Amino acid sequence: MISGEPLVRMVNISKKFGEVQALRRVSFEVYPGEVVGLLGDNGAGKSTLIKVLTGLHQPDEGEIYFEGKRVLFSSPREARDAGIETVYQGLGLVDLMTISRNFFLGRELTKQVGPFRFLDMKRMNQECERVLHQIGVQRRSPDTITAVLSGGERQSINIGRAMYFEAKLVIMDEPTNALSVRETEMVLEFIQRLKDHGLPVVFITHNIYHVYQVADRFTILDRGEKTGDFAKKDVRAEDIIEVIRLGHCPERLQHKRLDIPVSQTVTV
Amino acid sequence: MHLMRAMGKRPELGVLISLGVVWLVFVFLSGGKFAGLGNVAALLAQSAELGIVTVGVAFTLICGEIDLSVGSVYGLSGLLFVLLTGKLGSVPAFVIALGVACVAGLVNGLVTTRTMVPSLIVTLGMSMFLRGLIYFTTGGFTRTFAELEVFVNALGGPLGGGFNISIIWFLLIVVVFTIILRMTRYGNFVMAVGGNKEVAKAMGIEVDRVKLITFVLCAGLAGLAGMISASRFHSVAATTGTTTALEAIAAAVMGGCLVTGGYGTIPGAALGAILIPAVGAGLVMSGAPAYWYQAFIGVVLVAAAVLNLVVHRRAIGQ
Repeated sequence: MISGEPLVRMVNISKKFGEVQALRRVSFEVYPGEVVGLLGDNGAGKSTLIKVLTGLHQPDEGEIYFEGKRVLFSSPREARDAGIETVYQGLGLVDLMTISRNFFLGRELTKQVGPFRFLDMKRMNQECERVLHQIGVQRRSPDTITAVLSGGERQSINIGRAMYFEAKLVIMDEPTNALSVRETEMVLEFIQRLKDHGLPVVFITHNIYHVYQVADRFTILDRGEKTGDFAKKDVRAEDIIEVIRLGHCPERLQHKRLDIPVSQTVTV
Repeated sequence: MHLMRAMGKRPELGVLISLGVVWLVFVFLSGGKFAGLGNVAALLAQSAELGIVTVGVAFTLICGEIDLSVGSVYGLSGLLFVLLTGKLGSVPAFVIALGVACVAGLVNGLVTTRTMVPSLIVTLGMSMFLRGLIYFTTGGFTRTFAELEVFVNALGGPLGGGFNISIIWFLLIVVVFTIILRMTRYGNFVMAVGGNKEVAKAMGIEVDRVKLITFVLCAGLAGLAGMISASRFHSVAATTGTTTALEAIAAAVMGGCLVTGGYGTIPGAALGAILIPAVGAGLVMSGAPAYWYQAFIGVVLVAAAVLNLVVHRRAIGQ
């Protein structure tokens, strides 16, 4: 599964909040086309790592490469413009707004009329309809409010949006938290569909069983440090749980690690 | 059922029907007096002032916030306009009074977004604070323009036929703010922030900034309405605007705004602002004691809120 140049390469990222060392020399990669599960208990630093990637936090140390180029996003908007799309929990949409307004939310198409800029609703509706048609939502008019949509249709809007804006990476932070069994299935199916379209996904969660179904690789954090990086084919879900529970990688799994632990690089 | 569905698509339909019913009932009860030109003109003058406030209040409601300070901002701006016109002339007085209104809105917005204290409390405090300033400045008395300049008449002078020029400003503001809400990015953000703040954030919208702008716009409109009222009456009382905030919120809700945010229209809110003074005037003309006005409005308000919710649930299929 790991091949070629990584799409995202975060190298030795450290981040401190006051006295709390949230991240300590954490490296993290995402390769084209793969689904990475970013795992760890509460306070492990998963969300902080992703917030550093998406420009919500600035790292104290370390480097970030996106598509081979060194980057440092100063806001989520910049990260989004570069192609890093964040999907809100449970495939969230603004229920009271129409499909096309949701589709273009934050990236509305506008037209200039004199000194003013107005929404180009006509073009937004057309584009939205075209994209939804491509991915198989055919019976919905773009000015339908999204509250009435099924789970599958919500997926499609999120997928269509990621494709239309040429997302290169989709990030889902705890997408299955507080969801029902059926809703969770929808989210997992969504990730599978993104993968089918060749889009890499970072899936942040502490629910191993959810992520195990869809991920190709797992990166595990514990109290700000990386405790393991495993390919799915090398480990069972129970192994990952053990790593998380112990807070470090047990001896019997050391040889399965894809990363070289920091402590070993020091001794070599 | 068809009606329900139509109302789900067009929230202003409910208030339009209510207005029609109120109109017919009062024309009948008052023996035709209610439909007289003089009454219509007086009613629209009241509606214009309340309506301009209501447009701003509707924006805050749609954005998921509430502004209880609009009545005091309305009173204070009117007062400043009267007092400063005597010293500086009406145009500079207008600019300063409008500026003060916007600053009040800015403070509302900053405190709400920075401290997480609900806007209900923040704007209630602002309302009391500003009302205190008004009482302190006026000593509780009414202040009157020393002379009526042209600009003052342009804001709230007679238009002919008993009508007031303020209805033109009202109409203009309804059109402009309808366009802002429906056709601009900022308007889209207002609906998104009120509808689901977390999703809006994930989509890269600066939620706090949107709220801040909305509070400033709302206060600015309240200030403008206060000055129009001062221009119409040629004076401002210490109590001017004490009932305005609640009436404007009532008007916006009757006009289809959801108090929970994310939904509502400007034409609907504006019609709500016509309905409230219409009920007041109609009761008086029908010979009912004026005291019934508030009780009646109260019933209409709750009925409208319930109806909104029912229609809304139906529209989103729950």
